[in-house]
Amino acid sequence: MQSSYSTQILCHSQYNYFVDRPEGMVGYNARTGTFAIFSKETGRILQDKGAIESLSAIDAKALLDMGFLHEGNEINLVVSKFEDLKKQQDTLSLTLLPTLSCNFSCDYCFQNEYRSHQFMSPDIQAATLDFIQKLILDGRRKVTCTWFGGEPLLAKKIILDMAQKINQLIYSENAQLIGSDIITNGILLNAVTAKELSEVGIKTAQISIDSLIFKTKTKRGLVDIDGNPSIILRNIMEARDFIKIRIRINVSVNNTNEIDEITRVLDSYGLTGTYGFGQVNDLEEESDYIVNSEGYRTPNSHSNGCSSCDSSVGEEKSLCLSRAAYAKVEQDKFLARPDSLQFVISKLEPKVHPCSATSGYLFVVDPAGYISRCWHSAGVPSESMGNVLDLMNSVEESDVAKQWRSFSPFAYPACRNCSVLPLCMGGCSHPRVFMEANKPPCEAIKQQVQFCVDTVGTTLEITPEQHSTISIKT
Amino acid sequence: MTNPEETPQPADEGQAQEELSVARLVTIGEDSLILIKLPENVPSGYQIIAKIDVAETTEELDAQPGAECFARSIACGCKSLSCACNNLKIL
Repeated sequence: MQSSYSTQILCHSQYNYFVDRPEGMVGYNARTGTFAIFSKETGRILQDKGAIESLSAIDAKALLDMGFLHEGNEINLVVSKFEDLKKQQDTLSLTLLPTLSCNFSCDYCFQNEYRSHQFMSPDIQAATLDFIQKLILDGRRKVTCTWFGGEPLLAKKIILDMAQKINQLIYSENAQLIGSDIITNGILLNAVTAKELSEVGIKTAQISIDSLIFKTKTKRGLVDIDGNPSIILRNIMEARDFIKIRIRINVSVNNTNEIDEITRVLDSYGLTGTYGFGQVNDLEEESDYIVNSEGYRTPNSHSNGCSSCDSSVGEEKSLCLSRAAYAKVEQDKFLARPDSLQFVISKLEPKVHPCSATSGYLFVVDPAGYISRCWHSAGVPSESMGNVLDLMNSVEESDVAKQWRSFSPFAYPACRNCSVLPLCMGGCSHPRVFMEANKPPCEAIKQQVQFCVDTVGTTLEITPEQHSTISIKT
Repeated sequence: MTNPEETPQPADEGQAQEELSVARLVTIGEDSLILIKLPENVPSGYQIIAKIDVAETTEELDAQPGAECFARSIACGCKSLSCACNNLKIL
């Protein structure tokens, strides 16, 4: 039917993906997150095999609403959401590091170059609480708090004390604690500690593992050499009674051949659905930077194919899978499992910002009191926005804060023109903000998007009502 | 440019039924928690479809049976509900 609606200026979205089904064609638009079913004819038009003008007005309007078609410059729709969120400064995402010290020394840890063994002093704790109060009074009334390190449970007393005071502060200022959690290697997370954390409102613990066999201080394995559960696995099982556990499997070249066995062990302990994969990467190496002896990131002047000249770069590099290789491992070993469907769905959720650093919500306070925007900047004073002990000026007026505020992933053609941009929003921004990185920090979804769309699109149940709606033109 | 005001007048029900050849199945969006309805042969736990308003507190989240905020599914350190960062951090 010829459209009575002017479709002449409508264009195909660059964020469309399609899956064929017997009932019709299922489409997914990454900007809006919408899955829809079309008649075969409409599907062909959306795949640029037919004229948009031949769409009925009512179809065109629906497709416009769902994002499969757009008017004007589509990137502006993505940019405006990004910019709008920056204006809504009502959320406070805290990440507090009571220490950068650790009871493990993982060879891939991104903090190795600037690790200190300082713990947050009483003065810095008090000043941090004052800083949090000021942020709440400034209107940031939705608060999340993550405890991070180093190994934060080395500073358990500090955590318990500060968490209680933060809770009181939030209560007295009539703000709202949305969530509180901790990132730990699990060595110290026994039942007693889990109960104590739970009692101060810490509801979730993320525990990272990286190998099958546990090795003291170097390998965060699930089982001991004799096959019995390691201290980490025993603690996971104990702590579950008090706190929600999320397990992150750090994937590197060292353990790709163990992944199947690691997930089998986790499944055998009833931990299916609690774990996911994370990539071990080296942002400095990717940006051709090094961390010098003072803890400053600087361009690598010896980068002519000789990364081994600088051990801090060379050692990590040898451990990292390429981003594309990691994406394949995650897809084959994890996402392809039927019980990983929830994670597949979550990968197709459009983002507004790559993370809370670019939105301006995130405040990271390290053991020395330095306030930064990113976990990668903890322990790196040159990347801080100020210090809790010296808050004469607003941290928002610092050069670093302005650097973050002015950052835009849309300035980079590789991202601006990318068909998965709404799903990653440019990826981790730290290397671009501080290391002039010119390689796009592509997330795994770039390689996996069609797989994810195929998985969800072929599995979605289509109700008889939905099917009958489109049956006329199939 | 098309003036937004030129969008078509709502058709009556009969007309819509006759002309529509698209149907929204589900939207995975930042403003809502989505559980997708799947056929019964898919492993349990993922068979409900519902659009649930984002919970404001952990307690509200916990009170929603079967609901799981994806932004919290694996902690990333920046779990404001408007941020679904997938950049899992390395400890």
